[in-house]
Amino acid sequence: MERGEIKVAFKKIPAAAFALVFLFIACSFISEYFWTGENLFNLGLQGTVLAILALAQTLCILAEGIDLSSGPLVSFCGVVVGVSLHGGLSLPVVILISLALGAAGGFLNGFLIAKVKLPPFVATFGNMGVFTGLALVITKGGSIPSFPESFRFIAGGSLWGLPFPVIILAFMILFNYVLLYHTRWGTYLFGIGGNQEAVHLIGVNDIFFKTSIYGVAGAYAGVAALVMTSRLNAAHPLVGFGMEFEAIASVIVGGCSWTLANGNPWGSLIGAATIVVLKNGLNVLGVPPAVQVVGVGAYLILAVVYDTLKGD
Amino acid sequence: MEGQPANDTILEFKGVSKDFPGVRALDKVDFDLKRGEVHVLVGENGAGKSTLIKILAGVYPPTEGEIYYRGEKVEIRNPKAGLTMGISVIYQELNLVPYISVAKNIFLGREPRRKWLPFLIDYPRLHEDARGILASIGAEIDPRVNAVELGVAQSQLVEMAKAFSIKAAILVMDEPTAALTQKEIKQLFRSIEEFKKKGIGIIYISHRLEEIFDVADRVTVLRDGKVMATMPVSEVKNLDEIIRLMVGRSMTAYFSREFLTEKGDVALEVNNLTREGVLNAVNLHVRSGEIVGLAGLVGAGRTELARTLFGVDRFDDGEVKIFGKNVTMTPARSVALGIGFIPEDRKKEGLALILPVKENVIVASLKKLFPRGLINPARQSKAVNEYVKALRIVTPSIMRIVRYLSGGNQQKVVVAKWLCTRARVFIFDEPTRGVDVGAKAEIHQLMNEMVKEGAAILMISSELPEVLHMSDRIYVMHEGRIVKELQQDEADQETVLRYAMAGGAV
Repeated sequence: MERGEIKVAFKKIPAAAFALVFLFIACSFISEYFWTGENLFNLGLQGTVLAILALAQTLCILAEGIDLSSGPLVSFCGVVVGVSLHGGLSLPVVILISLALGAAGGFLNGFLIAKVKLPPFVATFGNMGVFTGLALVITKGGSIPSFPESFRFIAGGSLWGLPFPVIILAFMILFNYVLLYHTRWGTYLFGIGGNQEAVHLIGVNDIFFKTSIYGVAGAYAGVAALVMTSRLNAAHPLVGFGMEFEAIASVIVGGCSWTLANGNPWGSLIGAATIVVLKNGLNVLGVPPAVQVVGVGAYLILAVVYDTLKGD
Repeated sequence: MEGQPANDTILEFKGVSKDFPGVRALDKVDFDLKRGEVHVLVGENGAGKSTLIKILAGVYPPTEGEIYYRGEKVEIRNPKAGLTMGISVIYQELNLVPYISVAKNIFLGREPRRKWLPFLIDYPRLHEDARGILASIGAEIDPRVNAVELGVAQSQLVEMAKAFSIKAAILVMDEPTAALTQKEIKQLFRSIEEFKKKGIGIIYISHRLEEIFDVADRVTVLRDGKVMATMPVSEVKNLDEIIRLMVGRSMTAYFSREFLTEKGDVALEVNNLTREGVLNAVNLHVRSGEIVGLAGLVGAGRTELARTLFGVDRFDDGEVKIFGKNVTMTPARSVALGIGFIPEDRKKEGLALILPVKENVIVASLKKLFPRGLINPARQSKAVNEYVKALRIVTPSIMRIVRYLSGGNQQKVVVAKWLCTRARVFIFDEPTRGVDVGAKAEIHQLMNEMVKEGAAILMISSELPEVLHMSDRIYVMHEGRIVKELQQDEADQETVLRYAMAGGAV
């Protein structure tokens, strides 16, 4: 490779990748506990929910949108999952309910954005309130505890020596990859983000496809809700609070651009990993959770500053 | 729709007109296209070329007239309908999706899918088909790279491949060579040959007249929405003939200027101004008491020059002197130095449309009038009223929202804004675009008065008669360079146009 080529290739690496390497090294110095099986298991568990939401967020941002309602949607789906389990519905039905409810919430976002033509920020900002409110109404503000053993397997079980959530994540990553890069749907998603006019002119129903992007992102939130609810063994109406912040942060530090569908899910996954490891490291150092949020925000800003500076 | 056409004519416009509020953009146009021919459309800015294309593409419906496609009378209701019928338009701003591959762009909406898993895209076939199509039009492009990696020339070839893959019968190309190098143009012409061999008819719009001889089979000249002539290229003797057909409209409607014999000092001087890829070593000067016209085609770099002079855009090399002083421009400094910029798009860049006349006039002078930051409303209204009266702005009061004023009065508000800052050097970018004939004369009169008072005016205009009537001197720009300086008495439409179109190479 020529020097220039190396420079170009270097520029393509998102800030998050450097941050991840740095964090792994830093964390091994900070704590002997970091590399223990128990801690890594925990990281995987915590990371699954964020990673799935980061994948969902990537779809929206690639389509030149955003989904501010994904955290509240997780709360809402989780609460409905809790009520359904206590109502005695079987596990497969509960899983379907969570996915369908998530998809429905997402379709609502998509409808408002693609058809009613609201700015994505406004539509999903509004639904942020709607979903949170619905979750609070269902539980009357309280939480729904203790679920059957079969449901707790989703987050607590293991298969082939791996924590089950990690297997769910692996499946989601594969599914997402095939969807984005091997189906027409994925092609149109890049088309809608990159040049919606071109997609429209070729005779593709761009409004429908745009709506469905948010529907799929909503279904991902439904998956995240199952993992989250199972892990806590309780459904709480505010459990998703702030999750959209971390998901959007993951996508941004992962190098996805706001325009022209310039980005990929891999950067977002790395971004999600950095945020989980950062919080874990801060935890080990005894930093209180409230201050950890400051840490994530500062990291986000630093990463964007880095990207801006290297752009010139 | 399929079926053997009765003859070689695939498209025919019969008496097609298009009216926009206040303008007749196309006037009873007859136009036709044959299989396998390149039909070049030429005309000045605003002659109706784009309108004709947009009617064909289904963007606008015609006001009157009939369109026949493959011998049948048709209505093209929207761009999608046009495309389905086999009319493919390559606009200047290309319609590719940046972050998917070339192959996916070519087959967007028609991706081949796997036999056994039909929801998956069949990549091997996609790439193979794309490679085949690219090869058949002579384009050496890897179908797997993302469209964003391509230059303009290659993007154009991908658009052509797209048109080819949907089996278009008509390909429309709007100034395809505008951003291409000589070598790329040659490649493009080779690809066009391939299209001709396949019997596809091509409508080709160009500003580069010299291209006619390289690419055209027939030429149609439009002027003021009318077809002046359609002829085989073999009957075109020289470019002057075409240029004469393109210009030569009546000029009596124009205000006659009083030219001053005594000019003042040099107010604005530009030496060797260069901005990579946009401006190329531009030299010019404007004296107090004169209007200097800047002629050229859209895209020649005139607006870019104006923006650079006002300090909106940066430059890479050269110098700008205001009243003999070397300055580094920023918009704030330009205002302080007494430069006024009347931009091309007054609604977007010149005015706050939802604010009243008062705010719009005073906005650039607040600092000068009220240096302590507190506004004295009585003094403010007095200053604004003064300019409204002096410029004869027709408005019920200075509280009128400018959006509700006529185009001519809006333009005067922009001028008033700069007069209020006591500007001495004015850059007018298309001063009379979109204003009616009466207002046009009034603006010209206003400019005449301004220079009599000692102002220096640099005027960009795409309207040749305006440039010829108003200017003491004329600079002609072509591809980012000033190719000619003409005195008032040596300028005529044909000379200016020749330099603007061909950079003097004819």
